[in-house]
Amino acid sequence: MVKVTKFVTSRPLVSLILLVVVFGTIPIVIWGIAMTSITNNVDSLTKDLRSSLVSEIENIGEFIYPKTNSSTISLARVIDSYITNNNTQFTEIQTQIAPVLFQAYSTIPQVSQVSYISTDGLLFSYMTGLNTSFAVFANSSGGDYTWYTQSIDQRTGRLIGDATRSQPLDLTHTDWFQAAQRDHTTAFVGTGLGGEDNETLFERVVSLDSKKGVVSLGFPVKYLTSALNRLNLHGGEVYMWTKDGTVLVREGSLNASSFIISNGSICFKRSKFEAYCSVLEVSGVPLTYTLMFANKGGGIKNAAKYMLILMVLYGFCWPTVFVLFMVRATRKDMDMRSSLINQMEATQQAERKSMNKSQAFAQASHDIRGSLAGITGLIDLCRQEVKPGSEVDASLQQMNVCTKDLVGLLNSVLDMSKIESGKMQLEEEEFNLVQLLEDVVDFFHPLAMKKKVDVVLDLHDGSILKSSNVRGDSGKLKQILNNLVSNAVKFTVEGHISIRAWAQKPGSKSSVVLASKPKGRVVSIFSKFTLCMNKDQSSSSSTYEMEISNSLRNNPNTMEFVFEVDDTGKGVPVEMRKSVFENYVQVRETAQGQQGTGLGLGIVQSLVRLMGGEIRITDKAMGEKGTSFQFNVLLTTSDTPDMKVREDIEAGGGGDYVISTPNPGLTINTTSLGGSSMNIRHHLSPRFNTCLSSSSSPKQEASRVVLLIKDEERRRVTEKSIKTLGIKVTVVEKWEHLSQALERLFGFSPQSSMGRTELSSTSSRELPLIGTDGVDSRSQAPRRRSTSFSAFVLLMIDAHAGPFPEMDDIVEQFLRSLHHGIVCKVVWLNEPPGRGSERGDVCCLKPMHGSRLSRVLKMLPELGGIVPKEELQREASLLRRHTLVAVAATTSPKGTTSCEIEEVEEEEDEASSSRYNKKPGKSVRTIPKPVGSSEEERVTSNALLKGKRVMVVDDNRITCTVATMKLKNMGVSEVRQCNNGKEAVRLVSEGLTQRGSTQMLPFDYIFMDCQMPEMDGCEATREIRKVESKYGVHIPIIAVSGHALGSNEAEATIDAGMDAFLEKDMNQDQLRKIIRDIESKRTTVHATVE
Amino acid sequence: MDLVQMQKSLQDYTKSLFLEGVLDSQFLQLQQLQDESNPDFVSQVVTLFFQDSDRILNDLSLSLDQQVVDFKKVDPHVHQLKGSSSSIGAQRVKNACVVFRNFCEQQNVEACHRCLQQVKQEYYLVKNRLETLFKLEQQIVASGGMIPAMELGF
Repeated sequence: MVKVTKFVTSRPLVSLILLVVVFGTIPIVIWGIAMTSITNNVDSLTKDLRSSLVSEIENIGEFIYPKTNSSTISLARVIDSYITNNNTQFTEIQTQIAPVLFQAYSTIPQVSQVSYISTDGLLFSYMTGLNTSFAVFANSSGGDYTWYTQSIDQRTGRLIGDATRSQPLDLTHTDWFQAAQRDHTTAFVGTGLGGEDNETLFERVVSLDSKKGVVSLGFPVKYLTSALNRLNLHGGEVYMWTKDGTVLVREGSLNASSFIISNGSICFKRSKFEAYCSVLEVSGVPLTYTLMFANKGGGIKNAAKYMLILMVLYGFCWPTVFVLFMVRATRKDMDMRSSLINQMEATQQAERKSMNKSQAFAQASHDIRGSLAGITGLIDLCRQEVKPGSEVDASLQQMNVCTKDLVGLLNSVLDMSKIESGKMQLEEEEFNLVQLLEDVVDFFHPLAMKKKVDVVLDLHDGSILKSSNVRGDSGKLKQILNNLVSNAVKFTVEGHISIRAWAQKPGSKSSVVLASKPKGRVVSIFSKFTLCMNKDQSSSSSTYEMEISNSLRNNPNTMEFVFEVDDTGKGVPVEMRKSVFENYVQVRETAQGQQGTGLGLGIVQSLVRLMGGEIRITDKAMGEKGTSFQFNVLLTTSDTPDMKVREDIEAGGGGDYVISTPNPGLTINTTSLGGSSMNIRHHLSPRFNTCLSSSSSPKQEASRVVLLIKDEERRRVTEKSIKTLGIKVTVVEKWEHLSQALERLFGFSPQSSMGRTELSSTSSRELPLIGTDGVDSRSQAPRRRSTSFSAFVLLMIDAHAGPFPEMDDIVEQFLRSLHHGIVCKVVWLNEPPGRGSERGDVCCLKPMHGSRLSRVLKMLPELGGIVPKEELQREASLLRRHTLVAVAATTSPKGTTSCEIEEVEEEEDEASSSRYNKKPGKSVRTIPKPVGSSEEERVTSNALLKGKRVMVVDDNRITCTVATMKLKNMGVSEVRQCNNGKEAVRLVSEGLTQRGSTQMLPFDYIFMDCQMPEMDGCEATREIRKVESKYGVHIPIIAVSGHALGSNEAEATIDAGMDAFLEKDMNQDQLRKIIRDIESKRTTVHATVE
Repeated sequence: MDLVQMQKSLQDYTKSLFLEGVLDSQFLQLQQLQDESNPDFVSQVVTLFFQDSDRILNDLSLSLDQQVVDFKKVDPHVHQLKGSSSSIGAQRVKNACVVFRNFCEQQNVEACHRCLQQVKQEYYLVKNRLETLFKLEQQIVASGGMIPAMELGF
């Protein structure tokens, strides 16, 4: 089809002719065939028609007056017999002949005139008049020759009435009379004998044998005429005339005006007629008739001609139109194609340009970074020389800060260009998500606290704890979080920043949207749409991101983690929400006084997409300030969570296993109870009974945490997370209420320190105290290890909540007032160690959340904390103290973290305040078990290379020497140096041929430089591999190149058959890793072979 | 000069070399590779480097002074120089070589000349500094002292 189109458009004339010939002749030929057959048919039909007409006319002529001749002759004979004497008188005629005549008149059909004419002129005739019959007679011959006309009696033929005279005719001298006398019989067409209405008759005349007269019978012509009239002439004409030119019949639709008959010949003054002439004898009178037809054959031909013309026109026109159409369409097509090509070229050019620009950009950034590093170094150097505290020092410090900012800026620009050029890739590694979150929060906490803004980590339903060990790019995730949190910190002046995180099953494509509140649906769909738009705009990198996310989604171990960074800052205006994720866009109104390139969120978005997620700004409830960024990422969990955990997570976010229990003397506010609480309550009811019954005795009361935290959000989150663990929590909102709360809870009152007054429920209502108790269904009962433990009270007090000395006072008094059996521990939040530590209180500057919180809470007996015996005696004598040292150690290579608490006891005399000032953040020593400690590693790797024989191929002898030295340093026994690829190949093949049957390889490893004269590394490797294949061995070849790992050149080396790639500086750790990899591969290969 | 003082000045001098970016960690690695079995390793390598580089620079000057510069000849030389300088940790020479190679690819004669000058300058700088360093070391050794080891974590 395309070819045809092309042909048509390229040679419109040729194709036009072709089309005309092919498609024009066919109808013409068909027309020709059809025409002949139609003409034939028409001809035969007309012939048939005409012959049938002719025969019909002849029939009419033959049968209209049959046997007139014979009847006339018979009549003449009869009359002849009556005439006996020579001179017949009229009377005789009247008496004898007239009745015979009348008989004939009445019996012979259609006869209209019967007459006897004697030779001497006597006449008697009956004839038909208009309505009646009458008789015409001449009663005398001679001088007074008169004719009389008299009516007759219709039955008898007698004359009746008066006779009238009429004009006589000289009959005896007429031609026909004489002809009859002569020839005995004759016939002619003539007028009748009498009457006013002398109609034309066919007259048959027969003379008597005695020659005394003639008998004539007259038949009216009009019968013939009417018979002929009844014929269907099919548009033709018929003419009939006698020999002497009397036209008898002139019938037909044609107006034969120019029709002249003269002397027996006929003359038509018309063309296009077909005439058929023939003679017809009617009652003995020869008549000539002519049938005429309009020459319709010509009409058919005309019509056919018109049709032909029409067909030719049609045959011409439609190809013309078709060709024109095609030409136009193709022209349009061509135009479009050319414009498309132009567009594509332009696009390519633009892409190239942008790519080049990005590269140049990256290059420039790289260089700038180098210079900046130099500047930083120089500043450091200068500062060493400058007197601290001087003006110059301050300036230098500022310079340092500036350069750091610059580096940060540059880094973000670099990231951007990396992402744009699609070079950003995820580096998968295992890490602890919760740890990462805590790190992020810890990092920003001091900064935020400077502005009196709290950074709260909210693990929501704790689902993230269940699958915290994940595989993914921790660095980039951290970068995302850092960026968002730093933004939040930057723009928040008061309030708090909360970071929420939870895990869920990877659901639909945009779970962020799903996770949102229903009222945000419309907006979220809109934002999704805009995100799609953005995606379209961004180029190949986003498709790459999509691929990654798809592959992640299909992994069954993949979990979706949703993070939310929620601040109470200025917020992002709704109309700006779309564009904040675009590069170089900042919300101007809010960005005043804040620096930045506006790249941060753009990078964040790209990174989130790279990790298979999406980021957006969620809607906050009315009246709430600030922005809430929500994003989700897909990460594979390294330890498959068991089904139970999965189910828990799938059960949704309502995982607060919080149930309110009635507790004596407490106002209970039930917070955040989901619909699920009813079930749990039902399920737990037996245990509650025991709890309730046991709660009457303080000795058996469960541990309790008293929270005094200023910031509402932190209070809420901390409370919730403690409750999740199944610990009762009492929340105190203001420091002023602390003593009252403590009093109510434990019967402590500052006024009467030992008084233990039960609080009435009425008074409790007046107190602005929020108290809720949480009991976890799972964790409480089983962990109750010993029945002998006494209630443990943990006071968590925010040092910012009120004036420290007063609070300290209250605590002090409370501690003193506590009776035996109740162990109390105080944790100061946001408090540098120093004050209040004498008692062994724990001070914590860093935010109390996550693992830190759980470590502190582990002091509680429910959670496996050991209640130190000495604690019981503490109130009597503050002799012994303890600090908690929690050792978090990654015990298994899989990365599962287990925490254990070590109780370190210290003697009092050792106690100096500084020792105890260790805040938990510091005292918690995280000793991760490395993949292999470096010392140990070195030994094993040296063992790896010990005694090995190695070849180093490098054209640069210095490099060669250095490498040799390095390898020897690592225990290699023999290093063969070699200058180029050719030599290396030669050495290998020699070594292989000489070794004979021994299994020894000529070299254990070959270190191959890539770029060498004569034969480069890749080629040499290919050669070596060829040689090797004959012997069925494989010498590990390690590429050494100045190019970076992951570059095209590095890939080329692997393609060439090298086993590994090492950067030129031959980092020993890298080398070890490579050797180990190769060795492990080799052993597995051996194993499979064996 | 006092031995301790000498050692101190050696240390400071080495430090300055790193700070100026004349040398990088590769040189430190070289120093670490030097042990009893191979007491002159660093100076051996550096001497080799000097020999090679002198020759290469000579060749380069010759090739670049040709009427028609054959970049196919120039490039391997620069590559060679880059390799050896990076091997001994002469960072600035290496960086200059990287730039040089870029211009070689572009076949920019003028820029190549400039680069050669730059490379030469850097080379003589590093040569000068290293010679001074060795002299200091020799002095220390001559006065019976130990050459203080540099820390890796610079």
